[in-house]
Amino acid sequence: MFGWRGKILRVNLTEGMVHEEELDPQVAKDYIGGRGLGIWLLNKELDPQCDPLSPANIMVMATGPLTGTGAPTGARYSVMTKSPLSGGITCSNSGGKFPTELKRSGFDAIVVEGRSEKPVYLWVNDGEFELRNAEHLWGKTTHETTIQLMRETDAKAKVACIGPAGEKKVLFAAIMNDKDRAAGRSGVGAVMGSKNLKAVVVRGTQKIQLADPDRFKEFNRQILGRFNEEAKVTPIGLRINGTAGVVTATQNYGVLPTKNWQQGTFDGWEKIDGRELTKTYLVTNSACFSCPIGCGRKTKVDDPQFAGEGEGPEYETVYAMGSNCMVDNLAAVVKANYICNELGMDTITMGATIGCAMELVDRGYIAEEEIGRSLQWGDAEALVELTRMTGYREGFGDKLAEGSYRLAESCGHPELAMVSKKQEFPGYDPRGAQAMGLAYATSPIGGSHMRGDPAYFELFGIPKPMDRLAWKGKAKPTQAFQDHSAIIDSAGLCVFFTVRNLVEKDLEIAPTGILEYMNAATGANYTLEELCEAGQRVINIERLFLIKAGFTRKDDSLPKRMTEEPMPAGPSKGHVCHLDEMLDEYYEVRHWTPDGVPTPEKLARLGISE
Amino acid sequence: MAFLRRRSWQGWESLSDSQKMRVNVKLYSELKRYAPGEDTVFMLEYPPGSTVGDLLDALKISAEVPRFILIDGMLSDENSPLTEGCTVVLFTPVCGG
Ligand code: SF4
Repeated sequence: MFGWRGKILRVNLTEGMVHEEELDPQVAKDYIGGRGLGIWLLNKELDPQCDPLSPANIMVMATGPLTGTGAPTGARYSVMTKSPLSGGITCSNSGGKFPTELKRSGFDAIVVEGRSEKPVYLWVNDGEFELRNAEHLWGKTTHETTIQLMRETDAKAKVACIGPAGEKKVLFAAIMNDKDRAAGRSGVGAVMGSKNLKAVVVRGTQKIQLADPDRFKEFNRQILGRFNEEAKVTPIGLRINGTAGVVTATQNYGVLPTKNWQQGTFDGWEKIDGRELTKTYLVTNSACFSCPIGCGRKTKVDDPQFAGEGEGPEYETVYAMGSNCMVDNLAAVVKANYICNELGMDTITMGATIGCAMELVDRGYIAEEEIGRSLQWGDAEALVELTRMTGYREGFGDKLAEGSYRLAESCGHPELAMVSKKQEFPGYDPRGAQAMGLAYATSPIGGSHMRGDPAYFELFGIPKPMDRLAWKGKAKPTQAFQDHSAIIDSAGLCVFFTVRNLVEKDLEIAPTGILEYMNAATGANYTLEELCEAGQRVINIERLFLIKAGFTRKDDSLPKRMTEEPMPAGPSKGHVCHLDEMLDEYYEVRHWTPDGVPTPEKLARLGISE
Repeated sequence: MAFLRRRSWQGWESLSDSQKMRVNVKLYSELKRYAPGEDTVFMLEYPPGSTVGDLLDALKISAEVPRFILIDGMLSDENSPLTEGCTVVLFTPVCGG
């Protein structure tokens, strides 16, 4: 096959067996790869009702047909499994170099089933594979593990692993690859930990064959040429200040989540903004494989209290650990980010959970004695200390390790958890970005911006601006963006580059730029309609999985704070998120019933059998 | 407070108070350097009918300089009218998440 490798590696940890399987070309075409391939496999094999941390759960790590091909930002892979945080399906993706190396080692995807009796790691070396003992690595941080495994296998090997948080099944544990890149969300690292799989190590030298290398090269030349031309006159915000530069935008739109989402502006915002990060802590940029942007930040903190070195933070981390906790000490945020990376945890859920705990303390629903330390708004030291304790499930960290929903619920106030499907939101208050609320509520994995990110058109004007406060007519572009994201995630591309360079201004048209890359790479002769349908197929099959796992319309929800409490001040003052109105419209454009169930006709049209 | 002069508005200083619009301006990120004085947050006065374009001209922010323009928290452009008491925020475009 071209583009795809045509091979899947199946790992049964219970039996300690690993074997190769063929990838059916029709499945590859219909589901693209990455996220799509993952959901296809899980829909076929995984019991939606299973306990996510039991051996019955299955974890898929899948690259896309464009991963490693040299297409710009074709660097990504998706991890799909049943989430211990939401209880539904999840898909968490990451870039770096690991996904490309996995593909070069000979496989499109790895499917992991069962549970090993003892800690193991999987070593894949140019088509050869074996499970190896990992007892000596148990308890080690992600950085220690990565260094040790490169020593044990190959200095050029790439590592995806869990840290102590994954071992201890922190419900939002991440899988870290290339040390500081994270498949961060929904507890994919906890699933890996529950299977006693410490790491996947890959080394590959096999070139990925393209169907039409000349056409591919020519298109690449055009796209990159245009990109570089534009970059000359328009400095790339992402390159200059990383995603953390977004603080300036969200603050001035009044949608920067602050004080556990009680406010949309933060007085100390300039102290945590991307500009400050660049000025004070940036060492150098870093980029995923084949990425012309390089939004990654290698940083270093000298302040002895929070000293450290590593990567990050991203905007989401800055909001979650900064404004959301009223912490204006950027060094502390960076440090807490390092700890999350080393222990292997999602920074969004971590920060949001601490913010929620701060409010619970503030309102007298948790006593500080129970925490064993003070926990007031803005407490930078508490942020760092509690992050560490969570990674090891030490003391009160054991409670934080369950995420904000379970924490708030245990205090009798689940409404104070800023979640959808029990997963914490990224940093855009939907009261001032209406479609964002719809995207959070309908994202299959719960609060997320990566499964469709209307902030692009509502706040950043990409691919074209839309009134952020209007809710009528938002269902269609949101649905379209979600479909685009499904294609992007499945193809192995990065949203940041793709929505700016490979999609049409009219979101209702499927991404023509991706189509060209896909056809040149795979030779599968996709029509625009087929590509569009593939995206919808992924979304609908994910939805089907959720329905079978017991989710209904009531789970497509936002906390009351978003829908009933008007924003108290700032540029979004007085607004609430009109979710219910948007939801009716959304189900309609999706051809789902008013309860949010895909109609049989829709499924039949997409060729999905239940 | 900074008051900028602009040739085409000769005589605007003689406008009575009721004919002047006060516009709050905030410059952030790479655009801070276009501040007329030390302060990157300042107020300007404009005759009615002025647009963001007039403001950009006054600050010497040329068309090639990438910017996001927010008027009272809403994404706007060069042609957007300025209104009495409005706040215009200018900063380098960002995206991501
Ligand atoms: S834009 Fe950032 S996350 Fe995306 S591929 Fe490039 S470096 Fe990686």
